[in-house]
Amino acid sequence: MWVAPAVTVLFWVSVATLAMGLARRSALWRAGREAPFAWSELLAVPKRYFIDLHHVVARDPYIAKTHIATAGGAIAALVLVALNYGLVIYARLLDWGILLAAAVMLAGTYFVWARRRESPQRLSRGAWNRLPHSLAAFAIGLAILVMAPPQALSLAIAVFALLLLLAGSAELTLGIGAGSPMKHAVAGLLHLAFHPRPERFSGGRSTALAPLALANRDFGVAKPADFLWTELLSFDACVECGKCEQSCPAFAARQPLNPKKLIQDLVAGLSSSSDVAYAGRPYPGISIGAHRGSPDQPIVPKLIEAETVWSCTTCRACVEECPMLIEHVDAIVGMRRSLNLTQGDVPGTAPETLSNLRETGTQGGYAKSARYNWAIDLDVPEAQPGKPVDLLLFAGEGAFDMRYQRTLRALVKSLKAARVDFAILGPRECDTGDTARRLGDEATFQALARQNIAILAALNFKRIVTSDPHVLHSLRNEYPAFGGNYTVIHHTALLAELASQGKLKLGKTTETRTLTYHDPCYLGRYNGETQAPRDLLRNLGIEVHEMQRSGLRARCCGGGGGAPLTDIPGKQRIPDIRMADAREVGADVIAVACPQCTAMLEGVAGARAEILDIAELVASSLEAQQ
Amino acid sequence: MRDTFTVAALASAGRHPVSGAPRACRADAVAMALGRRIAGDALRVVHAGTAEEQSLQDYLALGAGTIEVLPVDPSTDAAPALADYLRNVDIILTGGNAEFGRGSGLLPYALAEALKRPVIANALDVNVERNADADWSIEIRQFLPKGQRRRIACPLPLVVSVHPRAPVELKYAYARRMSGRIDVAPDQGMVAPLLQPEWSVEIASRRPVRLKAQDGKSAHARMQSAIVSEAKGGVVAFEGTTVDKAQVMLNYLREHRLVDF
Amino acid sequence: MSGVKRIDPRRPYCLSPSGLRRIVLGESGGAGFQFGAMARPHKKVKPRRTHEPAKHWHMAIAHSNRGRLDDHAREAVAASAILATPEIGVIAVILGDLHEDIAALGADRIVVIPELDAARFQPQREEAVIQALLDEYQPAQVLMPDNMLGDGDLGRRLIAKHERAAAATHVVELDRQHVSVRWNSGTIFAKSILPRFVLLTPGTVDIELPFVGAGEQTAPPQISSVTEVCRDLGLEPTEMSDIALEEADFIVSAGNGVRNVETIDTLARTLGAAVGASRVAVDEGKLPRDKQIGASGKTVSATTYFAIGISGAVQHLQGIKSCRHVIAINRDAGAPIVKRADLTVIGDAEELMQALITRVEQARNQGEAGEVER
Repeated sequence: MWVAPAVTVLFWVSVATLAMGLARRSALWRAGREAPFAWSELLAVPKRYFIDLHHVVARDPYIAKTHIATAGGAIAALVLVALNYGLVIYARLLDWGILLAAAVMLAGTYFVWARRRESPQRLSRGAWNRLPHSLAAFAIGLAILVMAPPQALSLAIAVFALLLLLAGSAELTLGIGAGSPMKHAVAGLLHLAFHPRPERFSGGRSTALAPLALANRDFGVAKPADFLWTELLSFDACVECGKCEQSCPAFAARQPLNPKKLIQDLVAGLSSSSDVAYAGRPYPGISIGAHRGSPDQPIVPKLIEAETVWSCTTCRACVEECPMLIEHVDAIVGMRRSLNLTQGDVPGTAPETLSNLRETGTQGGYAKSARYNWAIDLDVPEAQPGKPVDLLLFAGEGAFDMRYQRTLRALVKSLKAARVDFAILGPRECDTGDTARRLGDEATFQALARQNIAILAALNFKRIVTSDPHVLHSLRNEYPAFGGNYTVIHHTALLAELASQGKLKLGKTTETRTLTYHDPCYLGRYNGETQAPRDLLRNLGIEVHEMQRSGLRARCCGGGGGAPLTDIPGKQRIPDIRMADAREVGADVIAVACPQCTAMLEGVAGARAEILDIAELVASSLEAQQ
Repeated sequence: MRDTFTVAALASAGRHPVSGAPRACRADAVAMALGRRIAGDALRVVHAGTAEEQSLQDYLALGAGTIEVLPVDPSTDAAPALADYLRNVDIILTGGNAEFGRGSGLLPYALAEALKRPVIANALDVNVERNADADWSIEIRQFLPKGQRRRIACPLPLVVSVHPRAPVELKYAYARRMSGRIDVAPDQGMVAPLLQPEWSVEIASRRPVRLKAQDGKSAHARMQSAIVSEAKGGVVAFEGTTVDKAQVMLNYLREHRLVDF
Repeated sequence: MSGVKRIDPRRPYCLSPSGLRRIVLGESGGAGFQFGAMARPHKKVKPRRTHEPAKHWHMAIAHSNRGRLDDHAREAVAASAILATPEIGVIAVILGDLHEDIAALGADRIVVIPELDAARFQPQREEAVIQALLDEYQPAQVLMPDNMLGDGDLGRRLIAKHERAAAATHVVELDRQHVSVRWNSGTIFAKSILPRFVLLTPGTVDIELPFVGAGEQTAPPQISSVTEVCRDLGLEPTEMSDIALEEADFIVSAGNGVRNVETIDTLARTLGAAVGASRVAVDEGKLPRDKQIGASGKTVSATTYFAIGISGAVQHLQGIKSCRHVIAINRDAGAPIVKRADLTVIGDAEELMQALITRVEQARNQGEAGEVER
């Protein structure tokens, strides 16, 4: 009978097609820059897939199970076909195995189809809607061909089944070469092996931006080929599930950013095509179809508009949600770096802030000597070379804001109550350069980082405490690349530590109103610290009424990444959306732990919840005790 | 009858008013950006001073390309040396006032006087067009307060001081700073002493004292004028019809001569 | 007679504008004398600064603005008089029309040259006229306001031509012996002897003088015609609404309490003002983002600022810090703007705007009629 040899032929043709497609696609990836990698990483794929990736996917159990059935069934079937038909064994027992795998796969495709019948808006349609059908065709065709006894198989049915199999195989094998949906399977697995941030798989959070070698004239990403090849590969892994879009604060505010579309535009760029075939939601306010690019053409403005790049708050919510572990924020900052460093093209009041940083070491153009004016009457020692101290207080830009000075004073009061040996950094302190770096001004960031590292090198301290998560992130995660290694602790963690050691005697709070806690992105997602603030609040006798989006999945206040400076217009303001989140849980008070969040949420017009820093709540409980 | 015209922008050393850190003088940077728009890559950027001046790095980042440094001792008057150096430049652009040093705003006038050419202050825009005589004609849009703008037609050559509100964007790009060049022009040996009175300097830590007439009034008269002088602070009008209240507002406007009817 | 001082119940007093009775100190006072009279000290005739004939001169030069001198120009005239000794006369050279008496500023002689109006650009002619006057009077001091109306420009032209050795610009402080200026963007005070040419920054001189000048009008010098190298092509027509808020001198600004944007536009047109907005009004989409005034928007320095339905959040007040006259229309007398405003009218924004529009239109029509009569 000719059926089994036909499947064998089809299998090997498919393998050849897949290999050619992969060769073609990988040529596109290789247009990117060199990235350090090792083939041995391929061995780590199963662990990364089943643990790291599945950890994200499992947040949506429906699709997690569906994907296990579909992909698991398909892979099992393919392995068995490779054995039985590829190696021309033709064993009946293996056919049973193939049948079982195909049945599991078919069940999975049913659920794929069911979800896509009334799909959430975040999902892309277009070619993706074809998948349940073509995958089902593959499963059914395969099942018929391997199981039906040859004598019972009429020619017509055999040809029909073969055609079904052919159609399904085409979807699977042509995908990678043609850049259609199934490319995600191959690119996704390779992406897991050659991820640009492999530290993510060893328990770390890996949120620091990579330094640019400015001396080598590395000025970021102007064209798709300026990305690392591993980054180009990661874009191809995107499954257009839209989890990023759903979590993006800028998208919610109708600013012209949609992380999913951004990745798809970069895919169009690396493959020299356009966004005509894109079947998801657009960047709010920007129509689909006119974006086109190629690996060696500038990305902005033909492939992606500048406003899109400048809308991002760098909150990393998209990265946190992405089941394919794509690094959207790295891509955006890469593009910002090029715009900033080579053209000086930065919108809004950001250029003013950046020149202030260069010229005064502060964002607002203040005198550095005024940074600790709020502490003049508090009798706090200033750090001096040669005078060892346990703890160094690094106040950051919030120190110039009259509102935030209340928080800093509350913190100092608590530190004194706990008899901590501490000193303020004083007029030497420079801005850490966090805002400059997020705005793509790597040169200014590096200059400021070097200044601060030199200043800190002259001082003798054990730890640094800061109330600003942005300062925390720079000092803790980004300065090590420039030789500054410090133990940095956020004030909420320090206060929690002092309370648990019994050094700080927390009283019961007098705060009786309904309270919720807003996680700062740079504390939660960037540093994984969500527990200490909650512990402190609980110790104060406060029950936290959690907002729907909280912890690592909290919604941004809109204050990060220089977004308040670039100020790209949308239909709504991000802090207003966050305030609505708080209103939903009936909060009268929002506890915060970041000067940016304080300023953004207090900037909400009209009736709103009161904003109190955790340090203020702690300090007032100390007062109530006395 | 010339095919081209030449444009130079003067770049003075700037300092941040709070930190004193070297930076491009904002007014000169705006003039340079305007010059770039008029002359493109042919714009010459000239600094009278030393090549070591840190603020020149900022001008490079803002797109100076190449800066020509004319060696001038800071204790002397730069105007004669600059005038001599720029003798053949058709359009000399400067900011209105330097932000480091005296910032008297006299340099453009001194240059114009030395070169015997007209000077236009507070330019927002400079348009160069070929006129009927196959020469160049210049049209300048001049800033006047309260939103008014004037157009002035000028012949070449001339000196233009540029208003800081000129509609140009200053774009600081680090890559340009790295690729820019600083060339030192040969010293022309022109040393002109400063033609100014002796100044004694102090750190500005007090408010300036207002010039007030010595009034021969008695203490009684001063007391009286203090008594009858108007009380400071806002007036709040609660009562009356809306028409009365409109009249109150109009009265206020008229009383303080805020309207001319 | 006992040694106890008795208080005369009919001792003289005056009424303050707020209606309070104030005792006139130091007057021994007879019964009924000045009883209940309203004190009008500014109506009191001030003495002449000097009665000596002028041996030397101080000259103040300034452009007028719509027939008046602005405060900055007044300072230059007043400074010339304050610095003058009795044998020195003060001559005020006014370029442009002058419809007011400036003897109160200490001017002994006044030369008005209407053709040299600030609206026209004729630097060479101005220089020639001033040169003729300088030659005629040989003033020991020449004072001018350092402004953008043409005086700063004219002053520098004169200085560059003759007196670079003896001149000071941007002067912030002066007396008979010295001038002070700021260097290095204001971080350094530099002091020197009083030079012949002085260009003053605004706010340097108190224009309230205890004396007056002679105020004689003198004919301007006759000079032959001058051909300008640069040709004035005229002023561009400007619509107040097109003017950048940072430059506008008169702003009406809408806040939350303004329901109808058209009314505010009409009011702005009627008053010849630019339109601004608070952040709330911008957030609600009533006005475009570039109209936003405040910490996160624009900082304005208008002479007159109408805050309509704006409660006056700190961020907004930051943006109007340098506005001279703030007039608020607000429903709530407890709003923070009331503390900042020089005049607050409590009531419904819409009604009050309509009433003001009507009233201003009436006044404007009457005013025009009045001018025709004159």
